[in-house]
Amino acid sequence: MNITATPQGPVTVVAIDGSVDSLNAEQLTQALTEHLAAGCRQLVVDLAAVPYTSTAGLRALLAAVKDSRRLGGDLRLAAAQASVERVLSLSGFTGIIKTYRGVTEAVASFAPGG
Amino acid sequence: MPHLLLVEDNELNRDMLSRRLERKGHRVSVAIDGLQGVALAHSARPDLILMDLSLPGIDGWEATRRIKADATTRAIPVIALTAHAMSGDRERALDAGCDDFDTKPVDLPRLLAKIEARLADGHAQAAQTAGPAPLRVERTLQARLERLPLVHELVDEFTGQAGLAPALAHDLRLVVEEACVNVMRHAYAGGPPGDLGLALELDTAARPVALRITVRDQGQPFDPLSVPVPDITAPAEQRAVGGLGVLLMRRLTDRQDHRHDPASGNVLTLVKFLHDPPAPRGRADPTPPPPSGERT
Repeated sequence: MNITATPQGPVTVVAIDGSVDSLNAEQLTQALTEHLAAGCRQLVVDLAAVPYTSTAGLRALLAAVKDSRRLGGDLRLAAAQASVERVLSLSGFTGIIKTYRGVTEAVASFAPGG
Repeated sequence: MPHLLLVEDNELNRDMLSRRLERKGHRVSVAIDGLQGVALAHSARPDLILMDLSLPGIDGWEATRRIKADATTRAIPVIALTAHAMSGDRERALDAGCDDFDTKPVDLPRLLAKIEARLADGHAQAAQTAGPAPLRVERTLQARLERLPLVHELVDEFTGQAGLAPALAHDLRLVVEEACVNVMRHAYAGGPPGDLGLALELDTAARPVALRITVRDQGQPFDPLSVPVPDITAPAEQRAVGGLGVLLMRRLTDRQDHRHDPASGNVLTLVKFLHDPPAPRGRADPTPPPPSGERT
């Protein structure tokens, strides 16, 4: 799994490439924690290149959502593949994390009135 | 003369029942534990097996699973016998592959009627073309998180051989990871990691066809199914982070069972029924692996 971050105005897009499982989810937790600690409170996680995530990945996302909201920001998901979207739905995550079809829409959602 | 195999550890019950069955015109072989039962099923090829469920060593459920996983013995009808009149025992027995179930003490006319019915079914089925043999892969590995890639590797191997559709393959990968990680994290907590046994089976003899996942360990008694699942309607701030794996195991399979006893350790069985079964592409060696070490 590779994680890259790209600033897009006030929003940071964190792109994950590869599956997230119990062995590497800590890497995702660390990356998200570091961005929040660096002051990036508006995060979009790009899931386009994630074919699989176990609940370890979901826990990493949930923890970052809680932290970002506590800091006055938010974490939003973009471009989830059907398999990952199904896991998000089965876990009830689609009710607590905003999800968007694409990165552009997710970034735009942070704009005033977005 | 029909040949029956009676697997029963209690000497008194074994002798009494075998004599009564012989008086009714059956030839009866006996096995005194599960392992001997599996071995005799293979070597003697009886027409029907009467399987006590509470057995030393491997129990009747496991012995039945092994008999049904072996292409050479899977067609032999198995009638489970148990003193436990618990309703769950019947489901567990049928889930393990037993064809019928009766309670002890034995009501001989009732049991004979079931035996005759199963033998008649067996003859009818023998006249038809046998379906494909069940597909089974298994691996024993150290219960450490670092071994997770080996788990995924086994799932991929099974998925390819079984010809599972991508969505089903994804669900299988997820359920297996959640089940195995539970063992890796909890079973041997506080001590050196022991073994984790993982078996994946496409039971083509079952109706509907069943995808069966079995995870075993010899660690402390731990039932992952007893872990409370989170309220998924709660807002993010109130959501618990634990229990999500158990929630998905429950949602993505049709039956879940955990049991623990000193001989078998923890045995978690998850079953998914496939109403639109795949066409297996390959065959795995159904022979159980040796008792320890890391291997396929």
